[in-house]
Amino acid sequence: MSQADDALTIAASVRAGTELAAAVLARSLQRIRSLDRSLRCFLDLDEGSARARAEAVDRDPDRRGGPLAGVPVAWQDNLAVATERLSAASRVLEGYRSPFSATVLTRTAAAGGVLLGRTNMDEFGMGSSTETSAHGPTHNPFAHDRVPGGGNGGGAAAVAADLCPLAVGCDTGGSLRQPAALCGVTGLKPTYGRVSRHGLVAVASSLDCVGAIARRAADLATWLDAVAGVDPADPTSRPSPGPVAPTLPQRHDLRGLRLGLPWQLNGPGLDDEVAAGTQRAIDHLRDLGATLRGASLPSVVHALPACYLLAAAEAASNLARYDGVRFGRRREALGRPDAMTSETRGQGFGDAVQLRLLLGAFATATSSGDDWYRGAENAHHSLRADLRRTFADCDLLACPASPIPAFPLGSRRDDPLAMFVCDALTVPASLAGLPAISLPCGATAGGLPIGLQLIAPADREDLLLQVAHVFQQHSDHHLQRPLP
Amino acid sequence: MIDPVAIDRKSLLHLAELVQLRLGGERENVLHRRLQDILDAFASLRTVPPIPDPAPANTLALRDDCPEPPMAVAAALANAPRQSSHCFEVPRIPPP
Repeated sequence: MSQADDALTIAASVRAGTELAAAVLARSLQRIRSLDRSLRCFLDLDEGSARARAEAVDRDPDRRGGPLAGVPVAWQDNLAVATERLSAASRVLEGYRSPFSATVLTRTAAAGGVLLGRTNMDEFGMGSSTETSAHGPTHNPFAHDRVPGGGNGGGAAAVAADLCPLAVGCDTGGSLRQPAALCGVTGLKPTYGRVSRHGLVAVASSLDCVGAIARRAADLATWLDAVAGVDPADPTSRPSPGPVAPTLPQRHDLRGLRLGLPWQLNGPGLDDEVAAGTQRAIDHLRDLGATLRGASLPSVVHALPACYLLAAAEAASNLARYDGVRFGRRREALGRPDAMTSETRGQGFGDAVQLRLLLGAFATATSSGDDWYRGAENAHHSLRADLRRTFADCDLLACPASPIPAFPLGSRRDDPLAMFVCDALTVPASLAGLPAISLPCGATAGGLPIGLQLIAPADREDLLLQVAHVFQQHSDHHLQRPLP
Repeated sequence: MIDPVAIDRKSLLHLAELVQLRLGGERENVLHRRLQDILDAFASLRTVPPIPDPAPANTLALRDDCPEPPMAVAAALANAPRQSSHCFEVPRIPPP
């Protein structure tokens, strides 16, 4: 990969026959060999399998003519690819290989994408730094002593370092948007249900959304059109309201756009440089024609604890399947069968996962936990009502994607509450199931990227990506690369 | 003022049993402390009142839940690494 390679440029050249998918992949692999020893984005990359997939694209006229023709695509280690390893960055799935492929990746490949390899993540996506991975942390390409964000830090860092132009992953509470912000790339969480989750390792089923990270919003629009829509294997998937990518050229400025600025997400607790960088981006959107409007989401104060409590409750149920019998690793233990399961889970899950399982059990299976769970549900309803009211006066909402820039490795690892705060600005859209995007919008004095988040009403990915595209047509923040 | 909820060691081990985790040693102490910290920090959740007219749980317009014929046995077993008698075959579970 050269630094000029973005997804749509690659696809255009492969479709035109000026380049082979195999040649594109070879550049990507060369760059991974050169840089990933220090970044650690990819897990057990199988170059032979990736080459075979690229050659298959070159032999297939349908895929060679597809919207993602020849684009190397990384996938988060919680998405299944037939016969490939799948661990969700956990020891509990050590040695497991999936017998089938996730629908989103099957569709990505059918559109011409070349499945490259799986990327590192926080264990079961539980973290905001990729430090809870059983495989060790990924490093931020802009500062190797800092985190890339999480859960999908591997995918964000891979795109930022130009190891690949597109990384597919899951956003539960911000796992695509927050690492995209910390790594200076663009991350999209679609509306809940717009992209199939068949083949995704379930953690918090009412929140999990499959999305992607790329250099530009236009790349993500093309990818979304290729994968969105009903999947019979996922009962929560829904019909797509229509293609997005063809609508991007329709908008050249932001005249007529009402941009809401919830004060609760644009002031308290923000790093000074993040606040200033985001404000400059919002001013730029205004200069492009948007009308700025004050907004208020009073219930957002409870969004973070509500999101974590509900996610933990759902995780406690979803992760019950890792019992030493059905998947992956087993630890033998003397005595009754349940001793084997407890031993397997006690040794297989890391601290971050165990903590959430305990919290989930507290919330769902104890009398005193009822108050917490009921309060979380009330907060959930209140937030949705606040957002519904706000979107009556605004077309999109804007705020930072992360309250802080990339922080030093190890500085928050042993403090779950400090780690939770990293997702304070991304969980509202997650709780409400709304589409949201993180866009690079500047950097700190030390060169660390800052991300602007835009949130849209349900199913308005067209508007979300149009505005993001206009912003990127009139700025170059998304083109900034880490120093070699 | 919200009454604090203290998780004692017996309660912690009960939670661990519910989610089938064997705790022990220093890790048990660390998880105990962190769980208590989270419950203290999240305590305000207990005071969030219900809103008068909450929207239905699924404001996201999920598609209709239409009854369909159940999956055929062969399709259900299609991804089983091993199978016998119309069932998944799994590693032997140690006898009690």
